[in-house]
Amino acid sequence: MPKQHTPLWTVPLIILCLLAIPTEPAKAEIVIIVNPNNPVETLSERDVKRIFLGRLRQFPSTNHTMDVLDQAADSSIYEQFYTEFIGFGLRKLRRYRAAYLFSGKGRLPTEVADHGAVKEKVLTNERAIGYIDASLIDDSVKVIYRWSDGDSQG
Amino acid sequence: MLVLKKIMVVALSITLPTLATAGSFSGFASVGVGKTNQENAKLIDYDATWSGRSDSLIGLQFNHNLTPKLDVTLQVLSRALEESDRSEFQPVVDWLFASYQLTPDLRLRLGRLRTPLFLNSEIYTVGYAYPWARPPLDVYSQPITGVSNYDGIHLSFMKPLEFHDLEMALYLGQSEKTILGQYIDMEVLIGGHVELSGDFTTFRYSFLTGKATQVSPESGAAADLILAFASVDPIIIDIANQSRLDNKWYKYHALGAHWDAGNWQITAEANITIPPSEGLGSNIRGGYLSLSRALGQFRPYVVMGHFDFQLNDRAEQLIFESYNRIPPGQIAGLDVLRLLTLEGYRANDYHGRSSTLGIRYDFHTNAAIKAEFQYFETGTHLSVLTSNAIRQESVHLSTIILEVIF
Repeated sequence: MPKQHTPLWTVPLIILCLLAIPTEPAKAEIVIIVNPNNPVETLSERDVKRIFLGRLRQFPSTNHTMDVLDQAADSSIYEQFYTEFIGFGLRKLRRYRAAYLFSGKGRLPTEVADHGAVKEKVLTNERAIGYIDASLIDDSVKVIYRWSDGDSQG
Repeated sequence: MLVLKKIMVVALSITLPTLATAGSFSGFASVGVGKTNQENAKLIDYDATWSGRSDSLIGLQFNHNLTPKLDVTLQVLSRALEESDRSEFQPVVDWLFASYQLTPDLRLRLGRLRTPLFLNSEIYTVGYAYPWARPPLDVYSQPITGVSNYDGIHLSFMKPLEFHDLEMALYLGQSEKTILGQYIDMEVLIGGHVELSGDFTTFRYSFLTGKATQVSPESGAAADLILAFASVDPIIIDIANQSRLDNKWYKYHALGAHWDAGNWQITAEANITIPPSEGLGSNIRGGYLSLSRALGQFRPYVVMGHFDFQLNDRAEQLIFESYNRIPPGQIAGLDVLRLLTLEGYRANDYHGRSSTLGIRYDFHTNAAIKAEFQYFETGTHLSVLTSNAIRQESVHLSTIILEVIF
């Protein structure tokens, strides 16, 4: 049986297919979580942005006060959350927060170490609200907003 | 207003022990050096020798949440620049207030606060928060230095709209300050603003009116000299009274817009100060346009500004009127005084323009360094910020400043 050669035209096709494979690591899907006893079921995108920029100080539907949690400022989820979802580059965010804090407008979010620390705080504090990687959600927290790189839902 | 002072003392006595044990601590600092290009031209206390006094300061802030709805804030500011009412690095309470969230939309603040007249009034001392070495002096000059803080109450209402957040604020208080040898007392101060802020834009209109008493050694001495001729004609008393400001209403209006999208940032502000129709007062108009662009860690910027300063012309009208009633040549001493007063008033009317070129470099997460060069055409307009400015056709000011937050 004669040896069958791979047709030459398949080479550029294979290269194109290889190029099409994403080289960047997959972006995390981020969820906003609260304590399961918190009566809030859902938040709009604008409300989430307002909360993390300090423009909304109480949950909109229930008027309950809130404790806003931030992940470590040098973590990748912090950068992704603020630059891609909130729409503030980190330098702009630092300037904004300096102005916010030192003009007495209010308190800044409490920074905690990581996803686990956010979940732990949310579990023990009915007023807490934070963001974590969607892959880490379980029954201990309630998701009230979900965002994944350009796609969001309340 | 004595009640307000008592409230401040009580607030301080409650706040300090609490903050010391359970509050959060933060701060900011600026270390700046600057110089002008002329030996005899002093601008905001800079002269022809590099000096670090004018812009260097440190601020410490304590915050504590007493309850989920009740916060207390204390900010103490220490500036290198000596002022009439404080010595070098003397700590001053800049903010001390309790804030209570009445409803999700409504917040009440009570205590010592900064007067929120312009876009950057409340963060004037926090250089890290804005691109420039200092907010443009064409707007942020005398109107704000005289009434930069007040003791009183501030009520703000915030309502989300479709694309913007609407904030309306009203405040009431009193302010007392000695600046550049001038004692300025706002026995009653009422102000407010309307602000629309979105993801990229902020628009703000604000107003302020205050019942002001202003006493300066120079104008007081001039009034006393003129009053020596009070028996000649009642109009002399009217002329003397124009050198004083006693419980008269000053008005301020300001408009501001800020656009911050992507790498570009544009800010424009304009203000007008309307003096009382009688008494010592000045009609001040100022404005600026600032444009900056982020290039990685660098942010070059350019600012164009203008400033008009005109003393109340009622005194000039009265002096001319007095020439009809007491013609020149009758009383030599009075003639000299009238002439000197007229010259004094005319010399204090001036128009200036400024151009600024600078760059900010964010070299660290919490620190930035800025280098700025300013050209003031008719540099006189900055004399409002320094006690011994010499009038010049033009003055250059160079500033290098390090800004830190912690």
